[in-house]
Amino acid sequence: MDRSEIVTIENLTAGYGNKTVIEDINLSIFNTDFLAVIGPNGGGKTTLVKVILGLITPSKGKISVFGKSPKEGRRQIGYVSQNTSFEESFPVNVLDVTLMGRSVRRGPLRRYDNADRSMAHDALDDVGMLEYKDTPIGELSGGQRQRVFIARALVSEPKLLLLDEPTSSVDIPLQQEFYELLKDLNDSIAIVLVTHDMGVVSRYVERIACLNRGLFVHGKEELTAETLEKLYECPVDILAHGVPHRVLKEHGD
Amino acid sequence: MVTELFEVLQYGFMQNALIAGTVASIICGLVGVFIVLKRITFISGGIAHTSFGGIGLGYLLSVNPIITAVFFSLVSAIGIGVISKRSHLHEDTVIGVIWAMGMSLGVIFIGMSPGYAPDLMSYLFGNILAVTSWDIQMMLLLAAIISITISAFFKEFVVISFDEEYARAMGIPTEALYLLLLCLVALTVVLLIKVVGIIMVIALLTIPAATASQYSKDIKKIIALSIAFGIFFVISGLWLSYLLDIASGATIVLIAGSTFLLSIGVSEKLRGAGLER
Repeated sequence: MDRSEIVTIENLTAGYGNKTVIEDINLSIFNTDFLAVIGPNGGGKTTLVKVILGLITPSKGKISVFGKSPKEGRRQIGYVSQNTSFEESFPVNVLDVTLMGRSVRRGPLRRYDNADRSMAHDALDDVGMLEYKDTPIGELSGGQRQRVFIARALVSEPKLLLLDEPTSSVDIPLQQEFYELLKDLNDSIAIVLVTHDMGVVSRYVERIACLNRGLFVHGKEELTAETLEKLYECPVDILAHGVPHRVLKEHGD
Repeated sequence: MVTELFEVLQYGFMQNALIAGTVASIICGLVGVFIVLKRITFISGGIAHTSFGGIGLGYLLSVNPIITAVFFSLVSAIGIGVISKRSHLHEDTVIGVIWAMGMSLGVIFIGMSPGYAPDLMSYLFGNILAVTSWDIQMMLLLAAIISITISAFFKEFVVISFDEEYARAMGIPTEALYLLLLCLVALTVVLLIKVVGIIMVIALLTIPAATASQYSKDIKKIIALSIAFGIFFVISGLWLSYLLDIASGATIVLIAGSTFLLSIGVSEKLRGAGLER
């Protein structure tokens, strides 16, 4: 796969009302990326996700998503949200949820057709959840649900998979399996995941962006003891949260 | 008693009542499922009570109050929807305020209109036995609009009810769809006014769907089941109220409410049995 830039963010500042949350950030996301955005809670991770998805208009700077504005370009993004917002008893099964990923492509006034259903089957197969297709979503474990939500994102045929805190509801022993799945998917699409949990991520990601109002990108090779110094370019208040400290220790030993 | 039942079916007013009850039940099944899933029971109650302003306006302008209620409840549905989403106050606070204002406007309009207000009680508490053929035609028109819209946007309504954040991120116009759903609630309210009355509309909007959703995990089955529950509530309520000579709307609502409470007990039992196995 040739390396090309799919998301370009230049000197971008954004926030809510008068409150600036992320300031003057630059970021390039490539079609082959496996990028993790880390940072403390309140550091602007979710804001960055919303800017990429076109849900927040930046107050300054530029962003292009697949060469278009985020609102147009986001059709090529598969989004996996934090696993918090739905009700356990909601009467839909795994196949129904996966099909929701086709709803924008299909448009209103039309029902899902057999092509949609076969794509949903394929996506569930890719994430290893096909055998559960008739199971109500509320009966699955956190990790299984998250796989279904990935299938729902994949079924819209995205070129970038954007995940917001994907492992927050996944049991720790299953998290490794989850990242292995993302790594497999990364063979064909870009993966960007936002997280405050660095421990597991560091083994899989190729680049890391530290976000705490400002944003600093580090390559995987930098995350060794020798490049410790370079990481200290992250503002001190990030380090004060302790998250990168843990990363550095794991890479140092 | 059974022969009496067949005799009474020969009366035009009873036939109208049965048609009205069936149409109401079908539409309540379709819309009620989304009210329960999207958790908009309170806002729907607000729209129902606010529509009393429209009834009052009809008296004031000397037009059929159902006509003015259509427009009034559509405007108030959009108003409640927009203000409660955009303001920084809690949604239920805003709904409560508009709810009371709508009813107050109704009272003032009726006070301003000359003479006394005939049939006022039937708008407030329903009188399914007084449904006219004009009412039936109006109900059929509203039912057609509602059911066509629901089937056109069915999958979008499911997506925004299940996970609004995801829907918004995918570029689905969630706010517009939400307002459209509130407009359908408003039209359903008007459709139900003659059956159970403004004050008890919320019961028929939510009880059949809430009862049905305890027995299935499939939205389409829940809709079918809640239509069946609705028809059962309306027809048994109508029959009982006729036998005992009591108010029909209130009887329908009491039967619906009691069935709902009983079914909570039954479904808890079923769930308990399932766990033991």
